[in-house]
Amino acid sequence: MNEDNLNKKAAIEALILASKRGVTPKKIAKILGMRLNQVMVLVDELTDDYKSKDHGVQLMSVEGKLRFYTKKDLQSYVDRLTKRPLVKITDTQMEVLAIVAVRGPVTRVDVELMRGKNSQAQLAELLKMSLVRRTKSKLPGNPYMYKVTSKFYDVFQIDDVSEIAEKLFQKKESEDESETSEISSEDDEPVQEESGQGD
Amino acid sequence: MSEEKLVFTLPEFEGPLDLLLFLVRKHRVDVRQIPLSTIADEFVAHLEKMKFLELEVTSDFIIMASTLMQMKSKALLPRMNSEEEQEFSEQKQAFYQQVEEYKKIKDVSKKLRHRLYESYSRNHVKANTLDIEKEVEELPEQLTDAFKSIMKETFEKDRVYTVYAELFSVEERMNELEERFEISLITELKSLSGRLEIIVTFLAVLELVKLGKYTLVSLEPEPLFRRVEN
Repeated sequence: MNEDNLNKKAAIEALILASKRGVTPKKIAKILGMRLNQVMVLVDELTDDYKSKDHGVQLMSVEGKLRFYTKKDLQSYVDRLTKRPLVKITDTQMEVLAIVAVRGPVTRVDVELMRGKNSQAQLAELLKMSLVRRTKSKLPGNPYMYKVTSKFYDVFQIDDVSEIAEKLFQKKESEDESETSEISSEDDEPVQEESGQGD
Repeated sequence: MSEEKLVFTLPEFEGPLDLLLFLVRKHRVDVRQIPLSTIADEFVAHLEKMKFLELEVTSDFIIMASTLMQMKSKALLPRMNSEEEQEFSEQKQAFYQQVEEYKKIKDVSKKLRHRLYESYSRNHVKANTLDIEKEVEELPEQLTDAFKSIMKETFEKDRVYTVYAELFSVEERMNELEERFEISLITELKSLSGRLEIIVTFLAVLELVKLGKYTLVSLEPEPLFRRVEN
């Protein structure tokens, strides 16, 4: 039993490392023929294992995808090998981005109402940076609806918007859960974590 | 004698809500605990300062100022009925909510800035795939669905139907038949070769009867139609 668990954990580790942009627990479960809650238990174990001082990387979840990241204190070394370009975002752009991230999908008018200010330039710039994207809605007048992209999650290393806007907005608890997971799942169906809690 | 100039500095504000937050923060209490009239007065006073310093006061600020003044005046006037009172309290609620929401957005925006800063201390690590390897791409369901529907459509388009030119028309046959005084239906139909021709001829006879041009005169030994003379 224990041996089996160990193998599965190793398999999960291999899958995470071999994937290009990270892999969702749901996909791991599918590949390994495991139940999602079993995968989650092993992922938690793996996360703890890597917290040890002997490891230079840590396991993180970004937009629901499991990935390894180098540890903070080693950055000065890692920087000499690989570096990513700085993303320059002004304060006003960040404000607009925050609205889109927390409230998205939203129309430009919604954003402007919240800020009490024209926000067209900021949205255009964020679109150019591909941190937000827009789609035509079916609302009267077919206004564009803005929402954050996968790149947004990658750049900010955010797993779920609720991390930065925890309990800030008066949304119904149940609604909150489903809405945020909807945003984070572009190619995967939202995973129902409750499914395995019964046993 | 050198002229000494007084230099004022004012913090820059992103917009009217930003200025409102700044004014509220100076009170060190919740927005809802500051009387509307105080907020309105301070806001307008600040705009005056901005004008004095020849700072651009954009229309957003003016709109907010007028909204605040309107609410202030409403608060001062004795309210006539409960309907008006209700309306006013809703407007007030909406205003407070807007300020509070904006404050939250500011907080989120600050958190994002922090996250961005922090993100640079971590690099994504993966087993670097060499050129000889390829990721197994699972086509998103939407794409496969779209592809399936295209396949189905092309398949349906491939079914070719042969369309023949109309060989016999009921109208033409009617004209031909009208030249005759009598039509013996069975004999007439038996003299024809194709099924289509028979059908068309039969329909033509029916049509002629319907138009009142011919009439059935006997059924024995076969249906006989005769022209109706006017």
